[in-house]
Order: sequence, then structure tokens, then C-alpha cells
Amino acid sequence: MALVSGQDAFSVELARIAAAARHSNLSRAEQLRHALDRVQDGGLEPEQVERARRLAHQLAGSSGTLGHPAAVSPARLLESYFTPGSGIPDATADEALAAVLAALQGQPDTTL
Amino acid sequence: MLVVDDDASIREVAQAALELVGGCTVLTAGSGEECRRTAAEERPDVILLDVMMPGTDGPATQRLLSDDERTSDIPIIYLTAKSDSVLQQSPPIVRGMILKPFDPIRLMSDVEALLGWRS
Repeated sequence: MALVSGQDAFSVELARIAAAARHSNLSRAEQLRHALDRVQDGGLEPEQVERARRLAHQLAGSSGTLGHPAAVSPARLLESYFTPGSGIPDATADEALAAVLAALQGQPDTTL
Repeated sequence: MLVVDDDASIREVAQAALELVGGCTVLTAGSGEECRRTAAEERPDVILLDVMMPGTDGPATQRLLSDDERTSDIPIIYLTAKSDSVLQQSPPIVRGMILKPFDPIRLMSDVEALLGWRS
């Protein structure tokens, strides 16, 4: 029987968690797509804006910790966009979401 | 240790890192309310506490923990995406912060450094 070190076991577990997180973060990005469409149409209530801000916040923390660092900066921009009074142009938010989705297309880098 | 975060992926990766790499026993909670219950019952060595959570957020949870004699002496480390502004009004029981995103493989050593556990 081979001995497995804690770090080896963690490497396996990290890959599993990162794969699941990628799916969750793609779902968050999809929800942000809908939120962007609605806020740009003026159809988002304040509590829905706050929910979108939290989604972007979670997306940034999760994707960066779990193998998709390129998604962090655009997700932070989306978090700012959904902060009332940010003044960030709609087109900039659209570009940020596209960058998030592009970053999440690849498999997570969980190299230790 | 007790890891508190409303994001399941962050709870999972922190728990795995601290248990498999750090050799700790780790409990988790998904909200400030759950954190208070678990902390009072289990008395962890340290609480890693997310700052931005719905309901009772990190700083509010910290104040409630400090007001409860069962939990007032448990050190707290904030897990946060924010800069150090959250630390400016924190009492000494808050030992520092770990910025998100964090490197899971370094999490244990970062916790040890903030708690002064390293020799």
C-alpha cells in the first residue's frame, strides 16, 4: 500500500473542489449576465442590485482562490459596477463579464 | 479551527488545506449566526471569519462573539477581499486578516504567523 502525503491528498481534493467551484462560478456569471441586462434596462430593484454585487464578490474570491486568477480583476470591476453610484459605464461592465467568462472557460490551474 | 464563509467553495478549500496540509481539525459555518452557535459549543482555537456575509456580517459577528463570555477569548482572523480598513476599528482579539483570493497551500502558515504559533 502506498503512503499518500497530506499535500498529495490535498492536491486531489483541491482539483475536485476547483472543478465544482468552476461550475458554481459559471452559474454566477450567467446570473450576472441577466442582472446586467436588467439593470441596463432599468428593471432591477435595489435588493437585486445588492444580490448581484454579492455574486460578483463571491465570484472574485472563489475563482481567484480556486485556479482562475484571470477572473478576479473583472469580477471586482463587476462588484464595483453593482455598487450604487459607481458610475462605471455599462459597456465596461459588459467587457468585464466577457473577461470573466473567458477566464472560466479553461480548466482551473490547481498546480501546487 | 472554525472557518466561516458564506461561499461553500471557500469553506471547502480552507478546510481541506488546514486539515490535509496543516493537520488541524476544522469545523465550518456558513453564516455569522452559525458561527456563534458553533464557537460557543466547540470552542475552536481560532476563527477564520469572512467579512462580507449576508445577515450578520464579519465585524458584527466579531462583536457578538466578544460580548459572549463563552467565545470572547477566541482569536479571530478575518478572511476578506477588502483592504485593511476593517482592521482599523477591531479589538486585539482580531489578530489580522488573510486576503481573498488566498493561496490554499500557504493558508496554514499564514494562520500560524498571525497567531504567533511559529517558533
